[in-house]
Amino acid sequence: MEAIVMPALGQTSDEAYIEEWLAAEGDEVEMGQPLLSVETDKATIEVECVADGILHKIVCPEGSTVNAGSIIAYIGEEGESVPDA
Amino acid sequence: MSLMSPQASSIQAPALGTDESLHLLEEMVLIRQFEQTAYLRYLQGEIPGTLHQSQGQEAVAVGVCSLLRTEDWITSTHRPHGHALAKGLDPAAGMAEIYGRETGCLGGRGGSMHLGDPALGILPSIAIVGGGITIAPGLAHALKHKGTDNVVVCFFGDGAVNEGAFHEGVNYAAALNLPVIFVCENNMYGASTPFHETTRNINVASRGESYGIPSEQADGMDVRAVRGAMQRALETARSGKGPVLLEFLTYRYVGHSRGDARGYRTKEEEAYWTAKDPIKTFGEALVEEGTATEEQVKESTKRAKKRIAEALKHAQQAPWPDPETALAPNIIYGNPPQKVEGAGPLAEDGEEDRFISIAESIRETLHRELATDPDLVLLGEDVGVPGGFGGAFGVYQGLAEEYGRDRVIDTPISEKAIIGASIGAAIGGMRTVPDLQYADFVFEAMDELVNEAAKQRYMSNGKLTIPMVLRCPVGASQRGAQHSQCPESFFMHVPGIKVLCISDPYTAKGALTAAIRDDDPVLVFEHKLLYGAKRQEAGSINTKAYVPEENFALPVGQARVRRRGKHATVVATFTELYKALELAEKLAEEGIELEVIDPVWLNPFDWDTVMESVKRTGRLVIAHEAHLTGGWGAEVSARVSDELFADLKAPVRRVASRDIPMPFSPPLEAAVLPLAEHIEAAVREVLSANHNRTESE
Repeated sequence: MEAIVMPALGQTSDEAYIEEWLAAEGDEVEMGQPLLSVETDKATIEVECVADGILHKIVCPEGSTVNAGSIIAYIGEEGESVPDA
Repeated sequence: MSLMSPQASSIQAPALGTDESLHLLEEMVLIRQFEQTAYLRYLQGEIPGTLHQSQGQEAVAVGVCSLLRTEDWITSTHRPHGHALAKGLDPAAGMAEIYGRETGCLGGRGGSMHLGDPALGILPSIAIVGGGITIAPGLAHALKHKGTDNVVVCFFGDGAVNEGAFHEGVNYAAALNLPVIFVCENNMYGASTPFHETTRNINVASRGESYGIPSEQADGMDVRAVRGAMQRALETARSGKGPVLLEFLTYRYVGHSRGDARGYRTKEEEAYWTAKDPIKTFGEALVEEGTATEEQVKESTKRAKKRIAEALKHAQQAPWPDPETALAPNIIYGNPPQKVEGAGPLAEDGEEDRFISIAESIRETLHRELATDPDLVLLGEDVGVPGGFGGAFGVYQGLAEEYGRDRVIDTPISEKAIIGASIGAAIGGMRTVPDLQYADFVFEAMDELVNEAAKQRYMSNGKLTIPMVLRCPVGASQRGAQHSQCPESFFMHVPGIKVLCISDPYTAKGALTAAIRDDDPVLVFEHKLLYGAKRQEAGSINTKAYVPEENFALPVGQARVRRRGKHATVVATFTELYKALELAEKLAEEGIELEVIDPVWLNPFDWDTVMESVKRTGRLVIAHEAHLTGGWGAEVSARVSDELFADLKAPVRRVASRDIPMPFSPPLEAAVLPLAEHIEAAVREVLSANHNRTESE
């Protein structure tokens, strides 16, 4: 199981607003596919998925504002479980 | 020589079969996947520093390197991942290196910008734009010297061709007929600046004509076109016909570095180049031509991705390096500084005909080392031309006649290339003694000395040695501001470089012999007024002393106590050393005994000998011709004041050149230089003070 963090994407701010998740919990995802779209101080950007696996859990829902480095989701293999927060 | 076009040449890359084609494809996917993985992992905060990536340029790296042997060298740039992987770097060792881990190919000492592995012919990549272009000819020199037909590929970007290093390095390789293939990856931008805004001639290949070498431009998005051009270049370089310049038109799909959002490029331009994706187009072509099936293409891609997934896992789990190993002396130096005991005064007797000058002693030393070490070469301007100068100050007279002009090598007046090539040849297994005529010209080659000579061993995690001895004549001798300087102190500030100052003929032979046999870069400073040349310069000093005929090596880092005494210590080099010795004679008549020390080496510095002396005398004067501010005396003063605070009976005094550029006119020059009377005044001053710390407390 791998914790996925919000990348530092802004030019002047570490904050990013999650507009939309482009995959749902339980979906199979692969490295490089667009995973979510976020709005930063600079632009609206699609964040690429960093790993292959199952998107087990979305931690930060659409409409939330998140700091770079915060955990936003968990990706892992079939049957793995998300660690307790 | 005119431009070679692919059509004009009969040499073509051999047609590729299925296996080889799929292998090329897999190698390109490997690079793309390595870069993409590193990019995404960087964004996850797993990779320190920054990354310069090469997505889009894979066909150049793979096309070029797929035709190389392990014994061929490559030099690369700040964007080296693709080149290194294509030349055979294990992706796990590469990924661990950019993660900064112990199992990285360079133990985490290099990182993303200095990726390499000397065992695979990959020089730790050079992150100074154009930096490799002066080193590559030297590596090629060593390959040629060993009698092989191996070659050096020197990668650089379009931005580098506007560097002076490009002109000096390419011309040097051409003049010396060295097997270098200069490979320009023209991706149209130097960081964000369009190449066409920085030059009137955007055709890089056309510049080959300026140097009289073959050149070619080819499509850098087509791996087969790259191999075709490379095959022709290899034919030239391996057959002893000298260097070739190749230009590949390519494009990086990503920003210059991680913070680059590519706002300077249009969507249309990016789309044009995306359509030419070297991986996609090659894979499609293989299927279309019937060379491979769609399934086989997918399999190759899958294999490459699996290798990178394993590399990533390795890097993520690899341990951090032990912080203590950052200081390991044997990583900084091939021959780390040893504890030495200071030498005593020079012998006063010996056969009369063995009392010789510094110039004669240096000539004898070089003569004998050339005779015993067939891998030793001397390089420089005017060193071996028959009927020529025999080097500045005539030190090389007769050596070219004896050892041949391929051992005593005349070079273009290209200081960057002379030093760069000397470093490259030293890395390649030779021993090199370059000569710059005047120490003032060393500033032309500061990049090569400070960024390459001093750092390549450390960046390589101690895998490389750089046995180079650079001779630099110093000192004011009525030649004005640009032929007078004493720049030795600059280099005391650079870890990785050893600094030798020669002030007498005996030490000249012993220390220079040691320097030549040492595995590290040594800068040797020699004073023009001490050489003892036949033509007497105003102010020259007779330094003749007894020197044995055979070469002998004195310990590196050993100071010499030229005169023993107990009342005050004077540490001095070059002409100031002789002024101090004269002063010691004079003061002896007054019953004052001066101890006079020649440090000989500024790095490693013989702190033990100096500290022991000052502890005894309690008084120290430092005298050098280098400027006062930031001169080596400042470092000595600081350390002595720090370590011997309780023993000093007077403040440490420094006597040096005023902080003024050296004027030409003799009375003006004398007004800037440290004179004997200044040294005497300083010595009398420290002798008159008698601060006793224990009593005053």
